[in-house]
Amino acid sequence: MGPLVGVLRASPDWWENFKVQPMVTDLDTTLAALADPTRRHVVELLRERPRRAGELAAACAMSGPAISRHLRVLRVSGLIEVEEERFDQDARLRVYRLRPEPFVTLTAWLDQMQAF
Amino acid sequence: MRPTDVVTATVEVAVNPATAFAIFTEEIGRWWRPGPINWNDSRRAVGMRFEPGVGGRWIEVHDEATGGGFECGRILVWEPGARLVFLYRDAGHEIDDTEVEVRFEAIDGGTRVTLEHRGWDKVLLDIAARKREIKRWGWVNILGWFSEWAFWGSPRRIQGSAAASEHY
Repeated sequence: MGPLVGVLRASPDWWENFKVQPMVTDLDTTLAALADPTRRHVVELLRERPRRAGELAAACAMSGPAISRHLRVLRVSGLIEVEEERFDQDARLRVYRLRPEPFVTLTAWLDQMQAF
Repeated sequence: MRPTDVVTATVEVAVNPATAFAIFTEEIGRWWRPGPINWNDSRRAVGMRFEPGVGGRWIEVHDEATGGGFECGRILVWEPGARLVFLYRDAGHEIDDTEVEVRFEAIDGGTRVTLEHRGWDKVLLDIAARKREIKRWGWVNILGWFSEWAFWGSPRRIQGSAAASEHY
């Protein structure tokens, strides 16, 4: 994880000493994904427990295709993943859950803001 | 046991594997973040330390003078710069003797540190999923502390850098 992109831009001289950029979840991508209130609601729902797309759609009062667009953004951005695919009478049910890495990165970036 | 029953966390640091291993083990007292939820016994905890070598322990220190405290881990494999494996436990004693492996692999410009927490078949079925989820977030957070110390704080961070090792 290491220093995050925003901090690196403020410390170019320090950065010259190192060849490798510590693996960083892209902060821009994470913030863009969280910029939408529906997606934040989905994240809050998944924080309680993993859920299927249908349940998320109902909780957000949205159609399947509409919630799928948001889930795709969250998935591509790395904030959620498919926990497992269950089968119920031949129907494939995808259960979504949060991934910790983007949230830990975001927390670390915010910690830098509060650093003494 | 399904592959999903193994909890993993990965981080990359800009020091060579031997240095990453040394920072992880010898400097755990510096990089482990204090805070009320980060200890087994927050009223008594003063730090963390590793006793090196197979059979050594990872201890949450409660007595600064003796170094004694709560045993978090018992080392099974101690391969500096490569691999660390220990039996893991916490104060709840619900996941005793699950196993943690930490691998240190050289990558271009540094080290990839991969942690794997497994052995969940030993844990009672009705609590295993919940404990795994806690650890899934916990280890990512903890490796984050380690990587930030390795980058910003550790006295080993310059001389142990992968770039430096090419010159010496």
